[in-house]
Amino acid sequence: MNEMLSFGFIQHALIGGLIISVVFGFVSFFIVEQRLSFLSVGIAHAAFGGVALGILLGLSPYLTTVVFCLAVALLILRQVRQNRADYDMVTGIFFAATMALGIIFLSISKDYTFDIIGYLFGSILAIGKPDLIIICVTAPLVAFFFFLFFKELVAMTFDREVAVSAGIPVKPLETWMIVAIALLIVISIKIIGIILVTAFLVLPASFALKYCQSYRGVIGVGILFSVVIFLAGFFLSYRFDLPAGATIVTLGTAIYLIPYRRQR
Amino acid sequence: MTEPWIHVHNLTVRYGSKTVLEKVTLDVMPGEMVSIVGPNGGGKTTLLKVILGMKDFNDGQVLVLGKRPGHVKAGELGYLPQVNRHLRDFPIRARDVVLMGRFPRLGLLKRPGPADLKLAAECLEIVGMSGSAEMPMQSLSGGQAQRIFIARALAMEPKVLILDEPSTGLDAVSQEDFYETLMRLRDNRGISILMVSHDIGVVSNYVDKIACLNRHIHYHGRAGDEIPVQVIQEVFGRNIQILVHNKNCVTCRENHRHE
Repeated sequence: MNEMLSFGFIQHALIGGLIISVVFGFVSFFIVEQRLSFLSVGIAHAAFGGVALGILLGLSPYLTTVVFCLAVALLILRQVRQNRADYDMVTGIFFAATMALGIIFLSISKDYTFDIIGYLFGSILAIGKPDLIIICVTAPLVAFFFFLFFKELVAMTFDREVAVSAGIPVKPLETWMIVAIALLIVISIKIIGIILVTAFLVLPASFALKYCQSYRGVIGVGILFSVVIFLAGFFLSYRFDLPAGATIVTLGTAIYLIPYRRQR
Repeated sequence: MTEPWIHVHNLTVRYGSKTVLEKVTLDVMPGEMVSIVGPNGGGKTTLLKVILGMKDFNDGQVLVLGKRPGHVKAGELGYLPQVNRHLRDFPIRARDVVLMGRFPRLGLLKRPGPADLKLAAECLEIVGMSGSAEMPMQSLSGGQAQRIFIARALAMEPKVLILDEPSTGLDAVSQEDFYETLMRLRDNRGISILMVSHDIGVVSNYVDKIACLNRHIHYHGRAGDEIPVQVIQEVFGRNIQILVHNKNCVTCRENHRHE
């Protein structure tokens, strides 16, 4: 164990992963209660297009992914508001469209040396110092947004119509919330992976909702859950030489599936 | 002369080419309880949304507490939308729901303090739910949940309360209980109440005025006065038989006479 912790790349992975886990556990509540799970799938998969665009243009994949994911998130939001559509429908379109663009970008660039699998399923041990700095700056910013407007976000999650009638700026808050979720997804893709990140966003609150009857409880238990599955999954994956992201998600799902019937 | 707290004059609202409300005129005075009745699709909810500032209108004048809709001071206008069962799945305790009523007056970034907690407790007491403050909403019945939502609206300290089909899903006893709570609020706090209802028979026992709405306002009068038959037919259609049961119920009076 001590030997393991002495490696620089393990330390990077642990610090980055822990920060992300805490913020995921917090934000998960809003994603689950506002039925935004599929939107988070859509934003995560847009990252594939973003990474591919970075490869094509020879730019940092972070830069292109941030731009690409934010653009897609805001475009989905705009379509939802303009056409009075729901997130499911619009995300269904963009989910496939951004993957399609990604494939086109990759086929044009013909750079097969790039580790696209690492982005799809995460490569936690490849987290370098620059990645860690990006995580350490962005994740607290995202958490700070949710903390600052916590009361308003809870009110609009609970009863949007009454929140609007009471003068809470629901639309701007919703826009910023989706921007924050998109940022969180982008910075966590290297750790968890495009395909797996949604599970990590949805699992904590889904698990906590089975056991808690107040939103503060759900958020607290959600944070605890995501930290536990991250640490346990990470050490298991190291010990048995398994991919970390996949181990974390599988473990989390197994814990979520533990049968429990709440007494009312 | 006192100004009405809700003043609607010649209001017209269209969705595309369809006119939903046409030259609608309605006043709600301070401390008055008014019910709008009418069929589905008659524009009842649209009228409420215009008053709340959530829907634009095409023509006419609307003033709420002397201001244009949407410009009323935060918290002065309490709103209870149609029963939404999904709300009762949310993991939240009754007291926290009531505290949400304080948010508009607190403004952004401020958290509720001891004074807000005290007020929330008072509102719970008014609706007779003090004992359930710590209960999760998931474990409350429909009637109890509805009372919690009224307490949330009260925690805003509103002058005007707007309710959309508030008694849907409540059984007869809970309904009676619910309307009596509303009457107490009107009498003790001088709140004006405007509500929408299907149930012309039940509400006429409690409210001061009734307005029949089906695109136009067909009738606007004191509760208990007999609504002309042709109005009922115009509003609800000719193939419908309406049973109005209130203290002036003709059938009941005749039965008593026979006894």
